[in-house]
Amino acid sequence: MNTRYYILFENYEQGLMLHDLLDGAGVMNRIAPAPAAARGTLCCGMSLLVAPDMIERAKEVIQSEHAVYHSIVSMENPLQPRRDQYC
Amino acid sequence: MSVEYGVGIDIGSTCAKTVVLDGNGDPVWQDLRPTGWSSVETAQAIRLELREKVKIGENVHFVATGYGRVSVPFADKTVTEISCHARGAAALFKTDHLNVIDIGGQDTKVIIIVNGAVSDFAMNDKCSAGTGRFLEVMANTLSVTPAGLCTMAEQGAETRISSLCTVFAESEVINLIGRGTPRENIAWAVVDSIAQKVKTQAGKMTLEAGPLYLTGGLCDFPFVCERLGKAFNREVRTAPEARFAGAFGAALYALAL
Amino acid sequence: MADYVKMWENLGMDLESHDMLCQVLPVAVGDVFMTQENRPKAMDFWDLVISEVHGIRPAELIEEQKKGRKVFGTFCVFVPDEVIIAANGIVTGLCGGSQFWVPGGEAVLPKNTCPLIKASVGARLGRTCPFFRIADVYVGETTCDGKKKAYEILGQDVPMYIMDVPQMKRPKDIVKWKEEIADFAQKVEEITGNKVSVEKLKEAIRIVNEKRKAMKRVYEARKSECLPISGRDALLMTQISFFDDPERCAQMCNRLADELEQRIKDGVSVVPAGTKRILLTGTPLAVPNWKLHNIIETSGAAVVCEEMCTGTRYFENLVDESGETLDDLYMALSERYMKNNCACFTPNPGRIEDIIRLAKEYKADGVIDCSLKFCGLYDIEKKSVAEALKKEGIPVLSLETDYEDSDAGQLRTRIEAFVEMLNG
Repeated sequence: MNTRYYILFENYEQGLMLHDLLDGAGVMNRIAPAPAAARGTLCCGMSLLVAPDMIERAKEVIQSEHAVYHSIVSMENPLQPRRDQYC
Repeated sequence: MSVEYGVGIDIGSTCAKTVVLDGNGDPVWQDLRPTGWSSVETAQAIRLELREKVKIGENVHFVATGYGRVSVPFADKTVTEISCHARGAAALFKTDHLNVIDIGGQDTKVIIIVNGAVSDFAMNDKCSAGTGRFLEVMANTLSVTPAGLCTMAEQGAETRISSLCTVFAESEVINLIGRGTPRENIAWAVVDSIAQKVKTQAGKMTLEAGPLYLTGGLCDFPFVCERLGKAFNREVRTAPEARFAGAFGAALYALAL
Repeated sequence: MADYVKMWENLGMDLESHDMLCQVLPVAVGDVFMTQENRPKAMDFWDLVISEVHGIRPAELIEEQKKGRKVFGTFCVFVPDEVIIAANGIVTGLCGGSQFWVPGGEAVLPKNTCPLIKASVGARLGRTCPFFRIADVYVGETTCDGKKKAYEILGQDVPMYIMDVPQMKRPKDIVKWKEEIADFAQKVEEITGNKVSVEKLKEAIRIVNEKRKAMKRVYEARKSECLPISGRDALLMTQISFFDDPERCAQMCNRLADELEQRIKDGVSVVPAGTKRILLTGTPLAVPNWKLHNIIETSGAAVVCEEMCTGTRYFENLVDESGETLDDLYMALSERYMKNNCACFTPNPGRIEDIIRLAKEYKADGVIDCSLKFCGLYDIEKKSVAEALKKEGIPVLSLETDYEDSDAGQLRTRIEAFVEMLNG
């Protein structure tokens, strides 16, 4: 299984703040649209995509920096380069 | 340690073809079965049978091709059917310069091979006219099997379907039936329409001199060759093994891995 | 973020349908972009923009409208942004690149219309794209018959202004396009209430030229044997540049180019050495149309250049900034825009010259010439493109597709076979 973690936010300002903090701490992460399934009542927007080997360090940064976020969700195989489902 | 066997599996939309070559490149087993609804299960079944019948050990490479090539989990490599048909046909017909027409279940390809390598190819888009699928739809309308249609066509007289679109052509066929046109004549028109469509597909290509070689599921039918020959104004050659050209080419790729 | 829902509501959008669009976008973005290894860090900006594509920029546009500025929606690289910017207007691209909008377009257009037109009409009439709602006026142009007729339909729903693009490139056609630009300027002045002065127009020309130079820098980096950016990422940058503020766009492209140039120095490539390099030419790829790039780049090749409106045609050739009268400047604009080798011109030898030149500059191993279904202009030109490339010894694959996913398998077979052929 190819697990990926998505850190969700109330707004993109929060997201960008944590993005910079993670980058500063050398924790690999990328800005990605929040998956619809994980978003719930949050509306269309950004999330931070983190690989399993980085998620613990990401959580440490969140804690030590008191970073604001909405939730962290994990998804199985969310990324499939040859799925050919475009929009 | 050199490879003992090369296995090529060609999972087409209709049939799955398998060819096993030994280290000398000689065929030791070949198999043809319907692809069925699950390419993965068909591929697994082929592997099981291979283990039993050919007693292949670990020293073997698998190359998968055809539209279901990604559904062969144990394949060492996937190669497109265009490259495989080219390689298989070149080996089968023992020439390095040739034009190959492969009429498959849902795709028809015209492939030009120069010095043993693909130099140009054309393939139908989403439209299924000129493919095995077209033949199936028309055979269905005439209540015969695709093979039956091809045989029946030999007895037919010249009749034309003008439309190159499967859906429109089907209405034309229904019109012909309504007018009382003999089935044989309609079958003639269907086979001719496939030949015409393939000719159109190859229209912008510069073919190599010499004959056309037909591979794929329709190579057993002399009348298909005849109409193709007329459409292209060239000799059309084929062979019973040409149906396995894709799998044969894949097996050659497997040996070379 | 909840503010966006209110914003969309105020824009009169169909929230329920729009939500369906929001569901599919994350999957495609994930598959196409997030699966890539080693992407440039500076792509962060475009990742954010696409993640918030119906949020951040629309909100900015609405803020500017509150200050009295007007938003002009455009469909084509022939519309001179400079004139709009000179009158303190804002330009936004309005191109439909999603299958989501096609059925809406088919409700009022013949099915055998190109998907770009069907999607653009569907996006407006279906009320599911904020950009199509925000624009105060649409600026169309006569680059194909389908668009000409579709603009008549859009014109019943939204103010529409049409520029008449010449169909030939004789000296008198350049003069005619200059006059079209002058007429357009008058219309822009009327809509914005602001004068297009020599000073303002010169400044606008400078701003757009800077944007072109910045985009060109990114493309220059793609010429390197050490490929510092994927085609998918470069395409996203280009697609978004139609929607963004031109000065921020230039700044972000320059920031990306800085990183790419450093990557080349450090020998950082996004593909293994020897990966076959593809030049893509043909009809434009409006956001979020990433199908072809994704198939090519997951079939063992890399897209190194796009000879298309969403590519080199958008930034090649600068406008001469030296004119001192409006007439001089309009002529300079006309001369630059008329260098665009759209298939609407007859004859159109410039496009073939461009393709061959770019294939060499970008060290392409092969060319893929792809048109959208029912785009007769580009489809017919394929023959002369293929013949010219063959003469140059450059392999070419001609394709036709639309926005549906259903032909992806067949496209993969053709593209993989083409790559196998290039690999020999």
